[in-house]
Amino acid sequence: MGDLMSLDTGPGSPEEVLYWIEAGRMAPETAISLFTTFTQSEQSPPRRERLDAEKETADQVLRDLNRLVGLDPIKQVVEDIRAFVQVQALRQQSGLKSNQQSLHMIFSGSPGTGKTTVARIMGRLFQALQVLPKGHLVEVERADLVGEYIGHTAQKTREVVKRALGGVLFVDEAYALARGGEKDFGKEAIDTLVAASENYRDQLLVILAGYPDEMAWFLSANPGLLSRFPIRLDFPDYTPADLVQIARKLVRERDYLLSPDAESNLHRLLSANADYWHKNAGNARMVRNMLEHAIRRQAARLTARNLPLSRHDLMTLAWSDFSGEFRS
Amino acid sequence: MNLLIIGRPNVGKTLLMINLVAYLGLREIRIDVQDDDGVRRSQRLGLERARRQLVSLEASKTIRIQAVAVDVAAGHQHARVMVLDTPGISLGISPSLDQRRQTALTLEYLLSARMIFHVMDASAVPSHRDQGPEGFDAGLMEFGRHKPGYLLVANKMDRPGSHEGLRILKDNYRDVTIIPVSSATRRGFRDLKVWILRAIP
Repeated sequence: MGDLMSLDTGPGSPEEVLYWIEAGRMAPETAISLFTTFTQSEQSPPRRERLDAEKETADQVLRDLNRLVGLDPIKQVVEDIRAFVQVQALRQQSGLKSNQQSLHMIFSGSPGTGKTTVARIMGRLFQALQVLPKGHLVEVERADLVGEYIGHTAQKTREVVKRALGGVLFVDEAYALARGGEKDFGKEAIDTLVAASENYRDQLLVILAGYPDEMAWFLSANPGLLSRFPIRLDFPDYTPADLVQIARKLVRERDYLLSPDAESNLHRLLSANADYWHKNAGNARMVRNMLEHAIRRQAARLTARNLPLSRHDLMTLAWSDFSGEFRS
Repeated sequence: MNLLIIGRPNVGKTLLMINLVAYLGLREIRIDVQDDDGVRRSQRLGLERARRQLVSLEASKTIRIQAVAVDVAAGHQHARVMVLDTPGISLGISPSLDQRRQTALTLEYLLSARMIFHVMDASAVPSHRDQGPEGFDAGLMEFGRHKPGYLLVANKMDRPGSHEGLRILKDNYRDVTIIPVSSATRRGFRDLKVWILRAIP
């Protein structure tokens, strides 16, 4: 097993081993002993994870949060919330008055800047900190809350709240609730939500989310919300460098590789146009859409070519796969 | 469900496949070979013809992965098993891209196959004792130890020296299931069938 020494510089996954064999960089007898080490190390973490699933610690949740690209201010605030909750619990244990501050939140940011992802992590964090019993995420929007006739809205909203009890109720595009003016049933939904957020303070975390501009207007139109939703997180748009890093991560997750020219051109494209895009563009979802488009184009490119394909061919996304995207 | 037949060259993988699917009830085999460019060639062969055409005594005959589908049934159990016969794995880095590609593909199947027949020539084991722990067979046994669907098939039990070879294998790998067979005389095929039926969920 002397090959273990070369693991640092050698292939990092079974897929890479196969690629090395094909490229003539590794003999099968070396490969097979690497497989053994991979499958063994693969087998041990799930066992650990299963134990942890019963009791995930706050540190583990925060580690997942820190793995997200960018979002530095958000990470800092979440860190602070965690400290606050822990200190309050310790104070309570020592018989001191603990602050009954509610932890409901407002997330404002463009779509695709990580609001839902962070909300899900928030649920897990509060479960780990024993603030919420279940920590699951219920994601709703206006249509899930607002009814069609008098009385229907309160009923619908209460049902949603019931589903979310023990976890996080994430209201996406929350400003839409106030869209219809005074006579709209959306107002009723807001009132029911606010009441629930007060009544089930220990069992429910309500997060109102939406575009920054619309959320600012929404809050100014409903001044009562500000005091009940004291934590505000502003999700910044990703920088071009962040977006390239996200692209690299997404590509790796899907077992593809960016060719060097694809990576440099992608960076150039993302930074050159940063200010010109409409406000939905500067986000991770756009990068994902570009990648998925490139993956389809790569498939078309490969099938058009009547040559044998290597693993390398199958994995590599070239710049030509991307560049069609913005030509039209 | 894939059953992967893997091993060094000339240990009798292809004949094992043909005689096994015959034992499981096929009168005629439809063999699928996939070319590099993704074209799948299909060939229908009678058993005798398959043996003559696909098996050779001295050279490595199989150069592409070939597959035969067979329905395995006993009592209430029933399953379609894809038997994959692979080119022999030769040691070292092959100069031929085609061969390296087939090796990579074989090992890719190894990672996902539900059933693995690791075939060894039992009669050759005594004379190859110097293979050492670095060898492919030793590495594959080490890999298979952790897999529930792994079976070591000690082939060519009709040959002289095979019994000593089997004893050496059993001594070295006590926790690995070994079934001694002979593809030529069909000794041990019943055990193989029972093993397959037990491996089917």
